[in-house]
Amino acid sequence: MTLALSVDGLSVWYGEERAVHSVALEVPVGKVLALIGETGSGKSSVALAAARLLPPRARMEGRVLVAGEEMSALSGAQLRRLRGEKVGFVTQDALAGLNPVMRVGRQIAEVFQFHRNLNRRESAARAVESIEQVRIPEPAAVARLYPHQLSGGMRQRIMIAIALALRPPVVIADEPTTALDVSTQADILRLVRELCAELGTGILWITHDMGVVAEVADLVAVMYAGRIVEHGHAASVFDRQQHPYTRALLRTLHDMRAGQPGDPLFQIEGQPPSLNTVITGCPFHPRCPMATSLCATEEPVSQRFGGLEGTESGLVACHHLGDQAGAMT
Amino acid sequence: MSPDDAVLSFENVTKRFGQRVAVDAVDFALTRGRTLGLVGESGSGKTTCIRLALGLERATSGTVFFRGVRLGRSRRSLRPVRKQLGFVFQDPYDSLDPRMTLERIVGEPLKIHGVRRSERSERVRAALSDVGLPDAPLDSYPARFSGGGRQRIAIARALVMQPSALLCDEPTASLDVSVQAQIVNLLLSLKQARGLSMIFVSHDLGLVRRIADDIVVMYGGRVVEAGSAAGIYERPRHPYTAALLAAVPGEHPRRRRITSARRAIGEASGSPAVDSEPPAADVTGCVFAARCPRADRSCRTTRPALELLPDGRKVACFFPVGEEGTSDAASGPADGGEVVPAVPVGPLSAHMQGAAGVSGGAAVTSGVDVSLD
Amino acid sequence: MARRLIVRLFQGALTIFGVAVLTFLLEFIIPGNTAHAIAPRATAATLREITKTLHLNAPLWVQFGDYMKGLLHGNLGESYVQREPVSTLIGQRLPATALLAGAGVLVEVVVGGTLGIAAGLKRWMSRGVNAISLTFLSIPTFVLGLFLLLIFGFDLNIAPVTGGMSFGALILPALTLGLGGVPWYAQLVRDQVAESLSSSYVRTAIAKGLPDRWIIVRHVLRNAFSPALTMVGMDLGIFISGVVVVETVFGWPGLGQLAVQSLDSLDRPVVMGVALVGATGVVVMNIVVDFLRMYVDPRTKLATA
Repeated sequence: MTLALSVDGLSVWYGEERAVHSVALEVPVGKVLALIGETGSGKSSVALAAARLLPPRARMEGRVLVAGEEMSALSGAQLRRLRGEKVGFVTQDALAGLNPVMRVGRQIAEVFQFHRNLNRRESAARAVESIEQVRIPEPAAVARLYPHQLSGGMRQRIMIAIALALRPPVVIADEPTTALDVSTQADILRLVRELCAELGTGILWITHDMGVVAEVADLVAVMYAGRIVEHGHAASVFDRQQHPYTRALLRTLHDMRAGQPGDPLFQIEGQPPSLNTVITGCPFHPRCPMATSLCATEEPVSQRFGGLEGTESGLVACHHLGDQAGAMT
Repeated sequence: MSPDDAVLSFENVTKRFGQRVAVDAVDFALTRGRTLGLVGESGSGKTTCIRLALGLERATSGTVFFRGVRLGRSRRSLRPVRKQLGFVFQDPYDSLDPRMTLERIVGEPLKIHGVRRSERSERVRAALSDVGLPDAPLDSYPARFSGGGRQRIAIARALVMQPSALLCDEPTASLDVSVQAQIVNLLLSLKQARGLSMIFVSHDLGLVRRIADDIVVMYGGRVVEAGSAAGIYERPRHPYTAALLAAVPGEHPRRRRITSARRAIGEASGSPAVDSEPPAADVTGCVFAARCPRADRSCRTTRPALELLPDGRKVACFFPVGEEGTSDAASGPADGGEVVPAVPVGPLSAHMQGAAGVSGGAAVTSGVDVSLD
Repeated sequence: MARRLIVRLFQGALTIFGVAVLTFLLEFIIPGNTAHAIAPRATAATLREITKTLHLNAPLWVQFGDYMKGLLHGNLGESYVQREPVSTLIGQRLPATALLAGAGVLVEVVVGGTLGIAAGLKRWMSRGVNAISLTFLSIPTFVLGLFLLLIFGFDLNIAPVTGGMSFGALILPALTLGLGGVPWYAQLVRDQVAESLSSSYVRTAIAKGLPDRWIIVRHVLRNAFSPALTMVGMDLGIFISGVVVVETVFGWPGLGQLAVQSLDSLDRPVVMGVALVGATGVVVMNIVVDFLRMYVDPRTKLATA
């Protein structure tokens, strides 16, 4: 299995507060890994760290390998070469993510100008091709527009076109459909899956929505309080969730789609911990129906289940792995 | 339902902002004791409707009635209505003044409506306790609370006057998934305990399905479909509603719903400024015509009225879904010509049925019939 | 676009009319006998004669009507004191003031902009720039002017200190005028640069792998300078009406000097003329800037169209 992106022992601090705790992830070529989590889970910090785009006040530790090349140690010109060439980045809010005073065609073209040494005319032509690739009709006309003249869905397509311009092996997308309407989200989900298969791009897709995971992911990693609590193939995670938190998220989704109208919704008690909460033991134990005294004192390490390889395997960090699968349903 | 049952009703209400029509000749009513889900994407006019109901905007034409009384224009005439109407907005970080204590935030409506100071503290205390914050210090500030806690405070403020109706504008949209259910359940139990009537604005179709009795679907400032929640989810009649439901993500990676290369609704090809955003000015025909796979010439020239179908549903469409064949020709305009088959039909029905298998015949998915054959 | 121009021109005309009315009224509030000011040593009969010729006794609205009638024909009246058409007097002074205004704004933009960019890009520079800004802000213009005169004119003898118009003579007044505005530009540009640097679109640019210099020039600066453009327009407009203090300190033969002299001698038509030229300057510059901004920031095209 060739890896587009591999992250190992990744930790991120903002001042004294630690947002990410030794996270490990692997995105195979041509596959989508969905990283799901709530506010403060550290999912966006993982995305930014993997793209080496953390703000200056943040500090990171750990290894990031892009298509086998170590990116975490690079700086300056070497890092610039990898950005765009090896890693594309898509933000949540494309209106803010695009330069408001530059035509969208130019914003794509500059990528070719720098990485491919093309002149203005050639790079403009390549930009139009990039716009066409994300299924925008009349790409040449759209290239001449400014971001505010495009709809939300079109803007996100342009962001994707920028990220994919140089056909990088990996694209990191930070909640790319969260700000969009349901119908536009559906269009983008479809587009990304098609392009991923077409170009063999590996995608790290950050989201808080299990429905989006169900639609787009080949692999899932569930984050809670800066840690990955479950990691595995999407289908097997959905089939046999091992971690109580994953189970709760899936039960919420199922409840929305299939629960009886009028009944109370399935709810998880409590709040996700904030960054400055001191955590002892398993971070989920205060909200977990299965928690025992062990959970309150000792942090569980990731254990492999379902064998070493194949689509039925995965990693889970829970003391009660395999205790009872249907405890919460 | 008799008109006496209407708590809040919109009659032919239009709101313009300059050239733009935000709400266009809208008719709907909130029935006593029920929850009305107001559904639509950005720019559909749903939030403007809430602002009109609260008297925060004035209708350009048409009338909003509250318990049979016309919503007046003056502040004074709005006061008794506001007493009866609680409201909760989307962003609990935005809607609570960070410099005000809980007592002032929750007690503000009491003060406005002239409740004595001595009585206020007690009622604030009671309201906070009703929303699950019995121990919150009255002199604390919103900053102490997380998103869910803040939204509870907002709900306490909305209910402190003991209103008969509650208007909620996406009250859980900015909350975490694991907190969202807590707030919704709180609203549901309060509604039940007090016999509240409620309008729940949302773009989350899954959530609306779970809590609404009736649904109004808006697009481009107009009501395109209205009816019972169960009925609409089971059998959407407007092509927009059908496409919207088909765009809701599924439940399992093995049973994906958004699969084919076809578009759920279809971004208007060639005109880059629009996909789900509404038309900028008046549209002579149907607002959805530009994106509708079923539209023909008549849809672009004649505006379909919101008509009552035999099954009690109201639909503004010449070619409602699931009514192909003879009735179409009859209900369509004279030059209607041939009926254009719906593009999303095939995959849509397939997905809906697929999902039905998972959910075990839940209302959302059972018996969806949008196919032509 | 044409519609917008027409609307703006109409608004501008209204503004200028408003200024005309206000100035006219204000001049009547100023105490003093006009006839006496014109001819201080004249006899009573002469004063009566002057009053009659200039219609100084006519009711306010009649005088205003006469003045507006003249204005519509492009006639700004005649100076009471110098007996020359006001337009001629202003025409003689306008180039000097325009030159000074342009040079002053150039100093503001170049010095303020550079400091602002530096402060926005490098945190440690920010403190230094703050100190410089505070210094310039707390020094009154005339003190700064005299100070510059002292150092460069007398001690170092680099720049000429005498009045008159020459390139050398322009340096000191332009510096005085410009340095006073530097803090505003420095702070505005610094804030804009800092905001732009932390923006999502700059992050996108970094993710593209573009060189820093390119990101700063193409992505940061263009966004940062758009608000400064509005300030340039306003300053140019304001400076056009004459910069009284600076022109007085340096003996620069501009409109400001003319205005002061005319006010002294109650030379109403000239004061009116200068005020109107100033108002027109502000209005015109605002319209120019408005349209320039549409090219710099395409979003403004939509916002007010």
